[in-house]
Amino acid sequence: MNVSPGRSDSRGAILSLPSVIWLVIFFAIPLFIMLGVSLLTRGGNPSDYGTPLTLQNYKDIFTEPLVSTLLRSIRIALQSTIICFVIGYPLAVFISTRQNTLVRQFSLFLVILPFWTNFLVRTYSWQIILGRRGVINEILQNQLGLIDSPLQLINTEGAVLLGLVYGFLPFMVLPIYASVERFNFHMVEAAHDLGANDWYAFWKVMFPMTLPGVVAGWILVFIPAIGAFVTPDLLGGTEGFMVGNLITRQFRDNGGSWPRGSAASIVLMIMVGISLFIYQRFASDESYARAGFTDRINRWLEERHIRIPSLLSSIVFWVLLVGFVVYLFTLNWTQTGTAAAVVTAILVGINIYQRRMERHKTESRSYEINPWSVRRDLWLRRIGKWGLAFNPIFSYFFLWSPIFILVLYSFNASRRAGGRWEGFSTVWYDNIFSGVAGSRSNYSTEEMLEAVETSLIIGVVGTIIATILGTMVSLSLERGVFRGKRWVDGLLYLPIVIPDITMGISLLVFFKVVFDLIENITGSRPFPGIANVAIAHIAFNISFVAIVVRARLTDMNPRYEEAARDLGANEWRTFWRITYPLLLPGIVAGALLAFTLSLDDFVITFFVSGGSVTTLTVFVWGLVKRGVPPEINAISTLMILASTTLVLISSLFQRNASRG
Amino acid sequence: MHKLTILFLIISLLALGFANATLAQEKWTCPEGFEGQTLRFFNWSTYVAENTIPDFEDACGVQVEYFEYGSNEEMLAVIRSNSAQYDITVPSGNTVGIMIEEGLAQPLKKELIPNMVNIAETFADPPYDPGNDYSVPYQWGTIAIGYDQNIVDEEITSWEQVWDYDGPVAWLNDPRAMMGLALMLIGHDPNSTDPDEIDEARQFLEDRSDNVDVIADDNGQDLLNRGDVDITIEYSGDIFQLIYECECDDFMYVIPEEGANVWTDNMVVPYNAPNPDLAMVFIDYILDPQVGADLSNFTAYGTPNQASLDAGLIDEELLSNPGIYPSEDVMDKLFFANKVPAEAEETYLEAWSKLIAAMSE
Repeated sequence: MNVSPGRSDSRGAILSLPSVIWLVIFFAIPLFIMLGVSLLTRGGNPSDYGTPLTLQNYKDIFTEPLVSTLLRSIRIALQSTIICFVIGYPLAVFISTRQNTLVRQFSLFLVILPFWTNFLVRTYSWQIILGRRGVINEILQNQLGLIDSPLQLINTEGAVLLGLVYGFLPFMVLPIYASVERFNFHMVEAAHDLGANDWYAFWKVMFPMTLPGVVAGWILVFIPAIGAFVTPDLLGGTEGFMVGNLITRQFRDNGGSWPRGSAASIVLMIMVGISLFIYQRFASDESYARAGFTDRINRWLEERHIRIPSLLSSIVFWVLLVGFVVYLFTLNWTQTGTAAAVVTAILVGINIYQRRMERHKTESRSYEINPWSVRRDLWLRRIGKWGLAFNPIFSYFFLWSPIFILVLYSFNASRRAGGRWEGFSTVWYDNIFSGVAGSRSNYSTEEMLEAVETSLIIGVVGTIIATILGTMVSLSLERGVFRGKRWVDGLLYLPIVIPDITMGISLLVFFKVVFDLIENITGSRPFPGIANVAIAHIAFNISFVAIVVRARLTDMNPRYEEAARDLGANEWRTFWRITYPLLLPGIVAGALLAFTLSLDDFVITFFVSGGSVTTLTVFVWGLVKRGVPPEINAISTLMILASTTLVLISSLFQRNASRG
Repeated sequence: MHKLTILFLIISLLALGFANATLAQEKWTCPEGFEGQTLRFFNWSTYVAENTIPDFEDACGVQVEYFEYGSNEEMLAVIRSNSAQYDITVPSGNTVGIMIEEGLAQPLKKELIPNMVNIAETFADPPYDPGNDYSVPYQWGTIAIGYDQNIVDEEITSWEQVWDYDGPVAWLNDPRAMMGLALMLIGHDPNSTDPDEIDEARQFLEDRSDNVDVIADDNGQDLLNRGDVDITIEYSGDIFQLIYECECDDFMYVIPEEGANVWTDNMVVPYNAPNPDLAMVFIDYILDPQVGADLSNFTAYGTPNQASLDAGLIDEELLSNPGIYPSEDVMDKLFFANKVPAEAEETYLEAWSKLIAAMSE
């Protein structure tokens, strides 16, 4: 791609260097330190560790009672992935098949916007809805009188599942949307022309071709779901205790153990690694991906000259798949067996029916169309259409109702933050703006503004550094040619796919080790604070900036740069006169993304700061966990308003970027 | 009325006024030389009166940064790992012992704390810190039962009713208080160091945990207020604060007949405090009769400040509440969680984390 490969070698590598150094020191090394700590023995205190080397911590995790926590986390993560897929795929199809560009963009925007509302706030809103005096119970019990005593919705495993699906649904929709949008619907027509009905056209043509997006969605939902800590903590009670809670207790409770917590984080990382491996296997190799599952199994068997009837192979496949899903949700072998039997019966039934049809056909030698199959295909189409029409109504209601309820309840006169409606009032906003918020409560407007200030300082400083480093590394990867590029690529993507909690904990361990070292050398211990949090934020934001800027760079026509050079401009002038102005919208979009992510982050800040830095999200966490004040809904509404504004601005920039 | 009685009344009234005049001390004054400095205060949530910190900032011309934690364990973890430094923390009694033993607390400079004389006799010179060399009591209270009277039909007087209750319950994430309670109910020493007895206590709690929905990190009063649980095991003051704030008759705090955990919270200056001298001055400030009374009137915990009690600065409503200042009869049945050897402490914590993991089944 480059005109002067001789010089670009060194230039490309040099531009990558700052980011590589940053990520090695503040990302890779902390992970290795965490791995080391996980192999040590707990000392007198949770944060003490030392020799002998041991695998005991891993053994603890894989024995009762901790192993059941691990298994529950895997189960809940798989369940939420499946539910997200069932809701998300039709929604993605609905969005990408809107003909009007504006409508399409707006439908997509409606999915993305709730996602930019702070995660804590979104999860907290379910407390208002699911609580025993929450919105649902209030309506069922006091308005409709359908139940005598409140339903136990909150503090259950189901509530955690709901919270996770709600939190991560956009992660499923976006990659599938990208796949479906690229999908050429003429292929479906072609399939129909070749005699396939809707069912076959979908499973044999459309689904395999959109599989890369589906698998990407699975990964993007599964990884954060299995490492979740906020959702089970706020909605799960004792029933929904997950690995994230387990890890948190190891690091924050006195009964904990840093080595054991580190081991749990490593196990989490291994599971993430496995899912990434599956992704690599299925989604990136497109020829492999586009073959259907059963076809693939048949091909594998054929290659090995193993012949089994196609009926048997499809029964095995569907029984395994359906059995797995049913067992995952019911944990009941009887029901699983029943489901498997039903599937087998249906498949055998279809097979018998088809054979009889074929025999009938060959016997009568007539080519007239079977009225039953036409009717069946019509029903199939009708169900599909209803599904496609109903799904977006449900999905948008699901995505937006918690936010509406939160905003509505910020005007509730009741002193209780959720539950019964006691009249319209703006008193909580008045309290916040007049500064008397938190009278007889555990916070003040002043404290909140300080938290906002802390968030902004970290956000601005972190964004500037991450944007510069991220832009440099993008230029180097897109325009440079040098050895080790793949490694830089890998290093750049890892912070995105690793669970927040793992990254937060590895940095917590890392800073402790570094501070111990500094104390041993200089005799005085540095003060962890804003700088540590900013360093952590930069570590994950470099990657996000790089993604956005690289996307812009690949879209850019390199001819302009070549022309400038042909006209005698040197590299420096070419960059500032040509590349930079063309790239600017991408840089701004990347910076805005980084800024938003920095403001939004809770988990990493929470662990890295050791309780000494109060950003806005840490502040909100304090409110939600310790004495929910009636002003919380108003505060949340203001946060929603702020993030919405930010997203609107950033999407305007991105629009300009795609035009310019 | 007899003239002598009237005279007596007048004299006693005068004397009362006089006494009040002498006892109502001058406002606490700050020693010179701290202007512009910062105090980092690491405390439990909702644990200062509204004016406690602003008044101190005004008096000394300093800035106070207030940081919160939800459990002794959480605070200890931060101090031990030295991941952040604070000037004052407020550990409970047995945690003070741990901090002294591990060298996490620094000796108090008593010359900076003249108000030390105000500490009530019951709470001065505690077993975990003889002579109050490292700590000064901040507040005291009990860990017992808060419940919603409208939903729980019966009046709760016994722990059995909590275990048997058919509805959502929250327990407090405090290993020693909960395990000590179980030990006491089984009939063992609440501060037992026998691993078998501790395991028995764990099993005792596990068998009674079916109705437990949440292990609350010091936010049981909130779950109760929202109605997500009907009964919570919580710090007395948190429930009283809820009762006061909601301006309703919904909630009740009760110390059951079998007894409960009693605790003190104590101000301690960590070894790595950036500004220990200002911390000492702050401790003196809290021990001031008026400041101490304001604090206890706000938190609704018991005050260890004899001078506040003597000067009649504590609200009558609080003084007459048996959940805050219990009768001697009830007082006898309360147990302190004392410091135990490190291995026993370890056994408690292991048992507790095992219990939590097992409860999610």
